[in-house]
Amino acid sequence: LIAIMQLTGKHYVRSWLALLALTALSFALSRVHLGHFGPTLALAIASGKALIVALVFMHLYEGRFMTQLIPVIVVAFVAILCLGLASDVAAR
Amino acid sequence: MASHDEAVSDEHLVRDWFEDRAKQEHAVRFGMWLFLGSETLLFAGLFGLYATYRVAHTEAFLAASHHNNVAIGTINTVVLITSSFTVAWAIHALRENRPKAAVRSIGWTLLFATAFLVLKGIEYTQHFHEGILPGYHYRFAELPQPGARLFFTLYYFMTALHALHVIGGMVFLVVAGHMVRRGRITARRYLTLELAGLYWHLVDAIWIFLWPLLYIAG
Repeated sequence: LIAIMQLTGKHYVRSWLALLALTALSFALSRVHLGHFGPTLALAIASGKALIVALVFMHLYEGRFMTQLIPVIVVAFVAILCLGLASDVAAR
Repeated sequence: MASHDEAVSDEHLVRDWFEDRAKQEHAVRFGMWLFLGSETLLFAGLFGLYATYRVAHTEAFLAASHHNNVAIGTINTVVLITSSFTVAWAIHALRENRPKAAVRSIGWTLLFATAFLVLKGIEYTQHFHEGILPGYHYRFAELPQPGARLFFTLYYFMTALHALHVIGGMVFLVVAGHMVRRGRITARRYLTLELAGLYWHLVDAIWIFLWPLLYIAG
């Protein structure tokens, strides 16, 4: 058997605290007027949070390459769809 | 005797077409991730519509999102993130052969999930009283039209579809929790709980994006 490094309790607690901190940060930034940069920053923070959930809570960190590839492709598809649609409307 | 029993049942559980349990579990996990991918693409259509309408009706979308109850939305974000943690903790406890702690942790998750739905219900009720309803039933005139109507129609579609997933995830967790209690999910064999957990985390991950888009978008 190949020994795979397992995530420990510490990883889960730290990830949870990081997720709460990022939520607080996102909330605090939403109170400051950042103009067009605001939503971009909020989505960037959300992406960071989703990455923590996927890597630690969903054990993607321990997963195999083929499994890790699925969310990468899905995120790319969603981004292409949203950016394509938004830029089409913006360019009219 | 117990380990002998487990070894026998393990062998029984590995299908003929898999060499061993590790390969079978990898295939099941891979299949679950594919399913979660297709679930995400179901939401992708709504995210695409959101992007389109937001660019077309930016001012109305900002005004409408500011009208949403930020306190409830933010508390629900914290609640779901914490519920994701308790599910991860349940699997962690089970891996360390602490089934009772795992069941307790699943119980906490179900409690958080219920709190989420109750808060969502309170929010929906507030909207209903103001006449903020989806599609042609929209009656709240204080926000710019037609953008606000589009925003709230999408809001209802996205949050209701998400709430259905919360309920689905709760059912999955109740079944998994019951199996842990009955000793059918153990420290050596916990794939079913892992799959229920994966589904729950997807529900959390989708909300992580819904929160900024619907509550703090400005």
